[in-house]
Formats: sequence, C-alpha cells, structure tokens
Amino acid sequence: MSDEKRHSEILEDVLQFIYPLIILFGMYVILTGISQPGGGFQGGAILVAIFMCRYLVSSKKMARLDLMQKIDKLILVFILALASLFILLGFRELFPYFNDIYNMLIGILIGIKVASGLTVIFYTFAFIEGGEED
Amino acid sequence: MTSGNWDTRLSCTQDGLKMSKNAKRRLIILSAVLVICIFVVILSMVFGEKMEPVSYNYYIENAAAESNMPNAVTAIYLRYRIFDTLFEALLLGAAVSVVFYFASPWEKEFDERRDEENE
Repeated sequence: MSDEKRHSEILEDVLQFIYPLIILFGMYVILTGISQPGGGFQGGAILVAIFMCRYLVSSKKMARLDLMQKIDKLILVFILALASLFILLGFRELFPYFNDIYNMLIGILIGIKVASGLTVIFYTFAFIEGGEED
Repeated sequence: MTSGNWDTRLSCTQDGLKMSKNAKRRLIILSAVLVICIFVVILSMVFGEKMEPVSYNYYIENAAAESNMPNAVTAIYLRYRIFDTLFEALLLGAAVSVVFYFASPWEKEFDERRDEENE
C-alpha cells in the first residue's frame, strides 16, 4: 500500500504531543458535562479524534473493529439497564444519594459508546474509500 | 405524484444530460410546493399568534429542584427527555451495526488485496 507515501515525520512528531491533550480534553468534557456545557456525546466525539490522528499518521488499522462494535452493543445494554432501573423503575426516589453517581456513570457510558461507535464508522468509511482510490 | 416509476429518473444520452418530461414536471411541482411552504411559514411568522413558552418557564423554575442537578440542560436530557437520549443511543448503535455489517465484505477484500501487495 502507499504507506511510505502517506508517512510524514512532521505530522507524526506533532501528533505525539497532541494525543494526551485530546484524551485529557475528551475526559474533561465528559466528566464536567453535568454542570457545564458538554456531556457524553460531545466528549465521545472528541475522543474519536485520537483514531483519526492515528489514521493520518499511518493508514494501518489501529483498532479492532469487531471488538469496538461489541463494546458499542454491550454499553448500549448497560445504558438501557441503568436508565430504566434508575428513572423508570423509581430507584431515584429510593436511593437519592446515588444521583451524582448515576449522572457521572451514564455520562461516561455514553462517552465510551459514542467513541467506539464513531471509530467503527470512521475506519469503515476510511478503508472503503482508501481501497477504492488505489 | 406516483413514486417508484423508474422511467422518470435522469437519463444520459449522447446529447448529454437530458431529463424526461415526467422528471421536469416533478421538478416544477417540487419547486412550487417549496415556494408555497416558504410563503406559509413567513405568513405564520408575521400574522401568527405568539405562543407562550410554558415548558421553558417550567424548566427554568423547577429543573434544579426536581432533579438535583446544577445544569438545566443535563436535567432535561437525563431526566425529562430520557427517552430521547436512550433512543438516540439506540439509533447510533443501529447505524454502527449497519455500517459494520454492510461494509465488511469490502473490508475483507481490501485487506486481502493489501496483503497480496505486501507480499
């Protein structure tokens, strides 16, 4: 494949500094989404930028897509279970002190779900297009 | 307008892109409907009654107390509109599954081709 053609030393060195910042920013947006603008969806979408950077540096596949898709499905089940337990079945009134934990937990779960789902979509589209053009 | 009629699609001839009569008629009808819609929207904005923002005021006053959350937006999307959030997550999961399973033959083919080129 055209791996040598796409390889860029400058891009790789710069992105090495940016990775931790992207992760930090994504986690910050997810965790402070309760009291500030932000939230699970937005933070998850920011976290996908890591994989996009990996794709820019080298066009190898850096994530196992089948595993990512399984994570996506599993987390969806967790989100449905948690929300239906806590809100629809009335655990909110029974255990009011779990409110903050619930808010934090559902934000993190939605963040992981969106990140893994968008990674699958991004890699699939990127590799279909990349396979077609050469 | 009857849908599903494949004769009305765009047809490429030697003269270039040429539209059939039916497609032209459809375009005219579509643009007329669009113009009428925009006209109605503008009319309703000018002469329509102003709606009282009932739920807006309710959320501003009661969201923090009812849901123990400092942010009204979070209170709405994790409490009042929890079904919206859940089905949005479900929709994203369905989209991911469809993309993954519909695209996987292409991906396998691409991987095989790349392996052949590497060898």
